[in-house]
Amino acid sequence: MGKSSKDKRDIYYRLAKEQGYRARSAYKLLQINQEFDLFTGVKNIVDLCAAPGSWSQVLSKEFKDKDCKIVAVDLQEMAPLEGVICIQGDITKESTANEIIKHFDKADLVICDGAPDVTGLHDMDEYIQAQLLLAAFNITSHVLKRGGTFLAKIFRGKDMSLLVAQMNTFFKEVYICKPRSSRDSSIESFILCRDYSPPEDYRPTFIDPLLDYKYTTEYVLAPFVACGDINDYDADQTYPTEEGYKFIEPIQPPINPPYKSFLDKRRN
Amino acid sequence: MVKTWCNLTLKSIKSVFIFDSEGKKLLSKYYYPIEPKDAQKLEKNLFDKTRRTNSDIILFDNLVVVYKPVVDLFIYVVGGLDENEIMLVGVLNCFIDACSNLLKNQMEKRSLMDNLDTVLLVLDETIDDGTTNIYQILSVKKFQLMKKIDYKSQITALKFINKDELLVGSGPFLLKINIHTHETKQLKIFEMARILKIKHSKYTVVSGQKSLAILLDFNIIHSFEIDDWIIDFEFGNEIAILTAHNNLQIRDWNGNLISEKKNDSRCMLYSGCVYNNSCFSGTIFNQIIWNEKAFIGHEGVLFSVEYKDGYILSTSDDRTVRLWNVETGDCVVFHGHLGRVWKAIFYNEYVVSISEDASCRVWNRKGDLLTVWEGHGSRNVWSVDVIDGIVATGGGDGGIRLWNLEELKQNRIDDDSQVETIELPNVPKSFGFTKNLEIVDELGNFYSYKDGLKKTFTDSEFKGHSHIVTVNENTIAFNNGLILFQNRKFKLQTETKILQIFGFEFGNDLIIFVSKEKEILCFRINEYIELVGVLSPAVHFQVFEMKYDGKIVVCGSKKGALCCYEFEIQATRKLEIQEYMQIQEFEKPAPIEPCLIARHIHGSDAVTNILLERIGEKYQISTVGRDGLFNSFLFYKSDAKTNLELAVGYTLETIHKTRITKGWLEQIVKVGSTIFLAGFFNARFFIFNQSKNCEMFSVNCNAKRIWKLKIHDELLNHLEFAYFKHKHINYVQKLSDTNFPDMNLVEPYHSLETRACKFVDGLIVSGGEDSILTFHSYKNSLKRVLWCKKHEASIRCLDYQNGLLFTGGSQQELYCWKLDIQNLTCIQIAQALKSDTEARIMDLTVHGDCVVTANSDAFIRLYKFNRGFDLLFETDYHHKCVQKTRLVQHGGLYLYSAATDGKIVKWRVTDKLEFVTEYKVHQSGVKAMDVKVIDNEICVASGGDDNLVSLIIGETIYSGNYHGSSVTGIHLEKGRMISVGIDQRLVEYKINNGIEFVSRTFVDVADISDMDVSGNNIVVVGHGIQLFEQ
Ligand SMILES: C[S@@+](CC[C@H](N)C(=O)[O-])C[C@H]1O[C@@H](n2cnc3c(N)ncnc32)[C@H](O)[C@@H]1O
Repeated sequence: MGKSSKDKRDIYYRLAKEQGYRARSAYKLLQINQEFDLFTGVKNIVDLCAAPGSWSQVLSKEFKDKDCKIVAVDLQEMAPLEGVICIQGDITKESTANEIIKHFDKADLVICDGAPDVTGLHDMDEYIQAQLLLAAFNITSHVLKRGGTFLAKIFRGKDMSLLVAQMNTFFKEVYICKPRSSRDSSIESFILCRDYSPPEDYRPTFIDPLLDYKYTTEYVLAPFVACGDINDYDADQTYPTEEGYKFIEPIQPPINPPYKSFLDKRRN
Repeated sequence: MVKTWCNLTLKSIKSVFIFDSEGKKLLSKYYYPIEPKDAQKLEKNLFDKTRRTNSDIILFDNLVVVYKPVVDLFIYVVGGLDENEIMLVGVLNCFIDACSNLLKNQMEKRSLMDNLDTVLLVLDETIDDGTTNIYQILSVKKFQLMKKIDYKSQITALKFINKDELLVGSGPFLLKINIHTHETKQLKIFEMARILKIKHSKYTVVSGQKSLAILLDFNIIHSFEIDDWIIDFEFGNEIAILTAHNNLQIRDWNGNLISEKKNDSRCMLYSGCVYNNSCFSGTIFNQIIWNEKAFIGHEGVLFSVEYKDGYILSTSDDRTVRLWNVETGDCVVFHGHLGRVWKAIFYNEYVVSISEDASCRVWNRKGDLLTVWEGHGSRNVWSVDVIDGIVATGGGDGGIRLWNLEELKQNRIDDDSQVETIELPNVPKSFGFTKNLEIVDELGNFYSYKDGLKKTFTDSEFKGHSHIVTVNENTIAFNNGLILFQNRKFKLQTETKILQIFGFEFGNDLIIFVSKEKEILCFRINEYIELVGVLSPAVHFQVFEMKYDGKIVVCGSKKGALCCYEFEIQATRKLEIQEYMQIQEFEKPAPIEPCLIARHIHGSDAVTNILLERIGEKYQISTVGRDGLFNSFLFYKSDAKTNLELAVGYTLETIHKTRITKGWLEQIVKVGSTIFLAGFFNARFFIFNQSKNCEMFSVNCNAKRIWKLKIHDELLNHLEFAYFKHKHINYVQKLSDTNFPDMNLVEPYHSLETRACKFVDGLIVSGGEDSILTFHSYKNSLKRVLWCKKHEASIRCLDYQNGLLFTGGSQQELYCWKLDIQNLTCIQIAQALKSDTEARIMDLTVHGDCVVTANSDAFIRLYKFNRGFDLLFETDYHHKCVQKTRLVQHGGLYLYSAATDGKIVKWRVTDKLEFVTEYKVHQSGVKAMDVKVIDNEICVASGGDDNLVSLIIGETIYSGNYHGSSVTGIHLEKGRMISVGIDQRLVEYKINNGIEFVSRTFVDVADISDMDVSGNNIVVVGHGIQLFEQ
């Protein structure tokens, strides 16, 4: 299989390169926005787990020349973007959270596309993913204004109903959405929580952050919404490449992957 | 069950509760309005009161209460004062019976909690607004859950109890396996958690996710769940638990928290270890933190941390293992793994590590790699343990292997001190193994070597360059035209030189083939010698290797070709053997021409060795070559046209080709059922166990040309290897501990995700990302009985009809196989042409001679199958990736197709597809579909990426949300439907003017992608396989 094979198999990967996005994820945010209109009336935004930065690119375009603040956070180093404040840090760590909070009084929208490097041990991956989501929520609970929106990546595995139950206690509306650009074959989806209304007596804290629930007996199901236009490209479809098609290199390869030394060593 | 109650009706049941043994309410149901506060008070008082009394009926607050403790549960039925308490007891008993029936006699808290929704249903069915007919309670049989029969998936934890018994964590199940007898005990430890760690002293302690269980003699004595993920624990009078949020919790055996220390660095851990109540925490920020000290150097997330005697051993995303001196902070970095390293453990002077790259590696503490053990498919070794030099590894493929650490030195010969040099006065020229090593030197001296050198005789005619060929215990020597056998010499008359001799023993006869430039002569040697046949070599075919079984001769050439002859020995004039005789060649029989020639089966490299085996009417020919490939073919009588250079009445069909090495393969040795392949890579000679897929033995010898190997047994406990180096013969003998158990302790399943499964005539066939078609028998347990490799990329779908199996997958591969269940063979017989779109075949369906595929390039393709695939028609009507197709016969042939847009389309099938109608059923992709004719009507059940299940009957679409995630498998039958999804739930429904929920069972397989139902059996596949019985 040649380089272009991934282009055929993955139309959004190809589109992203053509349209100058750092990652195909950009379309996921665009399609969710299409369905839920995330950006209207929004000024302050936190983009958690933002590297390489395609969501931030979407935000930076959308809010260009508007009076607003965008803070992007990631473990990995991220190439700078106009109008976006980049912080490098671990979102599960208190110090990172504090640094984010410093930038805001209140935010209107928190988005998190965080995902661990999947190991292949499903329980582990699902757990780490849930922890990222809860860490994102802990930060959210400090900065999000009442009525605000929280969007986060979620793995649709065996424990998903627990997270849904949990988010239900803090938000009036909870949806599971799947943008058409997210592969059908992938277990990723997004949990969209609208109208933040924490219980009156809820005090966000880092001393005892919200931990995931114990297994409850409830089997809570959230409404499912497929996002994006039905006529959009299909992420699972194989599209032919046109005559004279040229392979484009990815816009922004990872800056410091963990196996960098390993690769360097192998090359020599 | 209580049958005498049948016709009694109760009028006023007030409430039903279930408490656990600590008084925690698990379930309550009131049949009258009550304030939550009052309810709470009532429940608390009730529990307090009943805990102290011994009777099981009490009067309380104007209520009659009957209750019963069952294992760790307290069950109450409460009625009004006017209620007959005996009848209440009846309700209580019936309810308990019904529940215990439903919970498969596991009437205890854990199973109750997991099945609470069905228990509630039982309750609803039996008590309606406080009114009940006990008769109803008796009919709860239909609520039976699915019984879990067997399960295979990643092996995530291993622990030796002693040198005979191994504890294994496979999903929520703990196995105890005797590594010699393979006797296995199984115990379900957790409801939903997968076992990730096992520790053993007198007690066995097992953890997984947030759960922990303590066992004594393989019985659970305590188990509890905590509020955080368990990273590691240490077990004594108390249990010290390191959690994923980097807290150290001290708990008693019942799980009660005694103290908790929150470590300063509050961040997520992937790994860590507790040692003497202090923590070595592996953070996702690539450091190991211990007390105030940080060990910095890893470039990725840490996956394991171990501590022993002042040293930390850690593994990481960065593909390295690191050994840290805690005192000095000095670090040794181990490079070698090609993927993420999941774990490393200490063992004496060794470090043993396991990785995503499917290997287990052994190192010394300086970081030198000592060996690589591979044998867990293509990805992931998840668990490892060592005892007494026996290493056990557990793979992502569900297999468990044992490796002998003690043999490390014996199996890898690097050092001249491990090699004997046979001292001869003159230069040896050739040698071969019988019982001894037979040697001829440049002066025609013959020697026999075994524990010492013995000169047997000298023959000056064998001066110069002689060759020795051994056939079992026979030795044949030749030199130019002269052959020596059992002290007799034959001189072939012609001048032409003998290039090679191949010998075979048949009873008392020795058959030898003498290969010369222009012909191959075949002699039978017994009391006499006779020329029994002449084979004429194919053009441009220099014979390099030959095998004969009495009927068929197979030759391999120096340039990668194969040539076969049909040859049976006829009686001819026998010649009395004299001591020295000239063989006249004038009475030569007519030469036999080849019946089949296949070129380039090993490129243009030499075919170095052949294995010829008869299977019924056919032959299996396996070959190895200097291109490093191991090939297998079927050779049989057939008049079919082939594209071979020559095929007269025979055909040759490739079964599989595997590249074993980048170097040369030189020899195939079959001992028992094990196939060994010997070859060279760089300067090393190696023996590879093809059946077990791993290297067994190697010698650093730099001697590719002249060498001989003798393997004595299947486990490779005894072997001899002689090679020529610096004008001397070097000799290596390996004689090992014969008590080492069989390496393949547990047979593997698929090494990557399974995508499709189906019941076929008593077997389960499955295929997936590892592209290997696999067959399991499933009586009582799952057992792999056959596997075939033909797909280059992943298998995504399969269908079966009358002995023909159809498989499809990525890169447009579509095959038809002939499956013979009796003889357990599955042979690929046809392949469809690919279009050039690199599309994936997502699904396929077969009916009669009609095959339809669903393709990721948006096309539905209709084929006619008649020994080959003829494409009749294709359409891209869906304009989206087509995900499912089903053919159904109902007054004509119909096709249903479904795509990522959530639409299901009905077609009439002729020699093309005619659109009939379409239904918009799901919001997004249709991930499962089943079509059946029920009550003379076509019914279509489907499951979607939108979590819904739906059912089309006539023009009505019913649908419902019963899954928390995509629905990936669905089965429809009269009155009933079953579905599975990514949420790992198996849901059963009644169909009765719509879909009615019946039960929900947790499935231990993650990433479920398919399900099939046959009679009472249900099989679910994904990241593993699980078999249920209903
Ligand atoms: C799928 S990528 C995000 C892509 C991004 N939304 C975009 O559009 O380019 C997931 C990111 O999560 C980050 N991540 C994972 N764990 C994290 C953590 N604990 N703290 C911060 N970032 C984390 C990874 O470094 C990775 O860059």
